[in-house]
Amino acid sequence: MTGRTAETARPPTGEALLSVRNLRTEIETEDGTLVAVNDISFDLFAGEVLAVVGESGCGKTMLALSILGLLPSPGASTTAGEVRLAGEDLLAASPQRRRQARGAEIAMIFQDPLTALNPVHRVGDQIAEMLRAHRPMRRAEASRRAEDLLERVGIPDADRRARCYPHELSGGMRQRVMIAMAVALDPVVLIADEPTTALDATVQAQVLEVISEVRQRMSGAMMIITHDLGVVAGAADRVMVMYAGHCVERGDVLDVYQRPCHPYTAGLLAAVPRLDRTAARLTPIAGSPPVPIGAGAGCSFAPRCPLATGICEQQRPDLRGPGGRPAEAASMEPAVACHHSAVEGPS
Amino acid sequence: MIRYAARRLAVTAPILLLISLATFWAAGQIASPAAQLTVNPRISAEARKAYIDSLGIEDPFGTRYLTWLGNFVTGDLGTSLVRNGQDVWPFVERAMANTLVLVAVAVAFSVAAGLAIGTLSAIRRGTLIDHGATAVSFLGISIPPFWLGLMLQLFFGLYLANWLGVGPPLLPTAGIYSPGQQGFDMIDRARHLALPAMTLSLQLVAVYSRYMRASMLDVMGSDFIRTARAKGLREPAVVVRHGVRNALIPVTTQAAVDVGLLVGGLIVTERVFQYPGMGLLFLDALNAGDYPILLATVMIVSAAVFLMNLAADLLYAVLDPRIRRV
Repeated sequence: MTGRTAETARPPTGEALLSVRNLRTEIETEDGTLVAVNDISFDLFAGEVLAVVGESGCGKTMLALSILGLLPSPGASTTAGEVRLAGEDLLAASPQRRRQARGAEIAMIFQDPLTALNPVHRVGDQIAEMLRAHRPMRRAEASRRAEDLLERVGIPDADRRARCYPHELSGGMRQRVMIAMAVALDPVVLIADEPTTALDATVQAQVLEVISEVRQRMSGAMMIITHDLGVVAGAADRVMVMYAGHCVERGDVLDVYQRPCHPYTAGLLAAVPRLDRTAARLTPIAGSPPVPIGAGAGCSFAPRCPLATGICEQQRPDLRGPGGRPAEAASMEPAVACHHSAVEGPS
Repeated sequence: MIRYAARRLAVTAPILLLISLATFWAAGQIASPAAQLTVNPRISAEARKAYIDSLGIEDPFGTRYLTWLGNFVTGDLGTSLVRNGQDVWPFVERAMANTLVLVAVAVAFSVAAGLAIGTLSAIRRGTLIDHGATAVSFLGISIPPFWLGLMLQLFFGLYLANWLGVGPPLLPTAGIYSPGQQGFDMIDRARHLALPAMTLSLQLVAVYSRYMRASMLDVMGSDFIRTARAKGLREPAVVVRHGVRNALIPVTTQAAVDVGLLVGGLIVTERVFQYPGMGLLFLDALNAGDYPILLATVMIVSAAVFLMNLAADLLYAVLDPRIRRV
């Protein structure tokens, strides 16, 4: 793993590659409307890696699918906000244009490579199909490019492996195939949704290494969705912590790690086993995340929060930057949404 | 794969043997061939007995069965008991050819229509198309072929021509050629095939479309479909290359199980339309107690069902690379 440190976090330059504003995604359920993504805003700049962190069910994957325009239909839909790709509003774009953007400009690596790959087609063909969907290319040339891509993600005997079916490859190999597919057309934005969760611990490190390598060669930006804070520490520049569809904290990775502001972030960090501490037990966060249906006025985390007081149950805390100023969506500055905590910095 | 097919065939042999034994026994229970022989008052009882003995039809069950089996496996299907002692094989051969044409046409149409309707229903789930297809297929499953056959005969053979004020029926309702037809005539043959094929197809289309719809709904919810969309493929490519291609796997297995169902429909359909195929030959032989023909038809149809099942199994292995190495 190439250790990314604070100085590698590049300052934003020019226009954001991906700009999400006040995104809201709702899912119709039998129990009512579930707000899976609630007022999420962020910018993603060239060369940057943003980690989106949270427990299962906090809306991370829904956020990614909203950006891609692949929400499960019928049932889920984006009801408000903007998703701008290099300035172009994708939510207002035609379905045809959105389809063209998928794969070529925004690509995604999915969690479980076994189910994400089609079992009845050879992996080389599945990559070649992607190339041919976006570029005029002969079948033979697409196959050759697919083999090159497999080689690029560290698959030995690429020409032979390209003719394998997914079930003939190991978990790590399959995820490399997914990565090869995702970077095939050098996308502007690469979204990796829990890319290592379905893999063995030893393979996880290898796959993260591959992701880190392909990222170095990419001109675009990357968004890693994970619940694994180890992945975040090694791979990301900035982090956004989600809880029940909301962004509860954001900031540079090292800052958030060293000085988590939101009690939820602090709880997540305390629940991670660490070799450099001799705590006898891990500290879990009591309870489980709420299902965000008909949420009340207060802070979603209040029922599980050690700091919760009366105001937490009555008023939802806004996302605030240094000095308690309301955080700007476009801004890169750290921010936290908590009545009892504030990010440090000049007011 | 070849070894797998060989093993399957080896297992089939004892089952076929069992079927032949059961059929042979049942044929003896239904009708006594001896009683069917015309009683000519000028032939003495001794002469009659000598004739019956020469046919061997009053021999003990075991003897008769083993004699028949020995002949059958060496390719001698025997002679008909009621059709003036003619060889069984030419009857069976003609009937088989006719039935093969009917089944091939009906199955080809049913598979094409069933898969298309099922796919469309699944990807347009909950729309008018889906509800319409659902209603029609439940109707199709519920209507028995014998009734459907009669209704089609009435409609195309009588009512439609009357309403339109045209003379002859629009479609012939029986046989495979018009009376007086000499030799092969493609158009005439096809017109005679239309109603029986329709009768046989309705249930199959209904059943296949249901299977396909369920399978497609299942497959279209898969992660790899989401991947295909995330790759930016056009929707038809997503549906066909990734959806249908995977949905066919379970449908193939289920369709193979239904081959036996097809045989039932075939017998009824051929009877209703006087279509000279295996079904009609079987029924005639059954009524006459003509067990050489009866057994020949049952054995050939049983073997065909097993072969179709084997073919479906092999097709399954072709469609699904995960089970190719068994």
